[in-house]
Amino acid sequence: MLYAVDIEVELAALIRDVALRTRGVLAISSGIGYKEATYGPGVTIEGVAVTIDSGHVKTNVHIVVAEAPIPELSLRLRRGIQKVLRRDGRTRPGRINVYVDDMELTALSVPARQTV
Amino acid sequence: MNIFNRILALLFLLLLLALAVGTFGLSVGLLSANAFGRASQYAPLHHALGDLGHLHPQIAKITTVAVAVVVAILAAFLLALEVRSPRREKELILSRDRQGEVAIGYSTLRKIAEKVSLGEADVSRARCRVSSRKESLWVKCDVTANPFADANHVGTEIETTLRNRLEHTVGKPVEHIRVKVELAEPGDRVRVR
Repeated sequence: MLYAVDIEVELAALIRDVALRTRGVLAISSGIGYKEATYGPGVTIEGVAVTIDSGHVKTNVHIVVAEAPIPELSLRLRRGIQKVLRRDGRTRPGRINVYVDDMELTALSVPARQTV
Repeated sequence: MNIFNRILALLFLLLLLALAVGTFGLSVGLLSANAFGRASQYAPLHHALGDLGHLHPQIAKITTVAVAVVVAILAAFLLALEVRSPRREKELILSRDRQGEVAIGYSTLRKIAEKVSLGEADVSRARCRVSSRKESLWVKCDVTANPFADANHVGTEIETTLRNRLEHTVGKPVEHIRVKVELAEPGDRVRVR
């Protein structure tokens, strides 16, 4: 028998995988100034907080991204999460909050400094 | 700091302030152990409170009063800071609707602004601050350029690049950019690429 907390952890893991597969997302962050995660027995999914309320899944995802337009990236991520939740079928997608905690600026990286 | 932590901090500081004021009052004789009501009916506490009123030698009394005053001032100062200071937002909300919200950390925006500034030729140091007013961004950057650079040109270049880069990334207009360019003194260490 699966309890709500087990489902939350499973969904959080699914969402984390979807996020990491989304173009432009480099990593999952655990949060700025506070740690956000989904906790289950013996397992913690950091950076993804899932709460199930009346069959709807509320999701908070913290991500580290490559330099890209954030609105488009978050739309892609939301669609991916909604798709995986619908496919899972046990719950319905609710609010999905996307937090961009950091950005890797490879194209803008400053060359190594030298001093003379 | 979230609301729970702030409440804990407030309670702790209030308790600290009360203890310091109580200790001060007892030490200088403004309060007696009986003033603590039912709490002082607990014998060991009653004795301890009574002892505070009869501290010997004099140096012990002076030290206790001084420590109590310092702790009280510190607690009151921290309490005032905690109550009065507006908390700076950590994240800029890019959108908020029925589907949820999208936010980006101000630290990330600052990082972009500083990297963009440092990406310009002749710039050796950059410190930026990004804030939001209504639906637009405000950026302030202080940069240091090489002594022989054209400060005007450097400032304009940074402004243009920064505006494009931030608007492209967050999808919000940048209403105001202020870039202050300071030229390094000749002889200062210069970054070479």
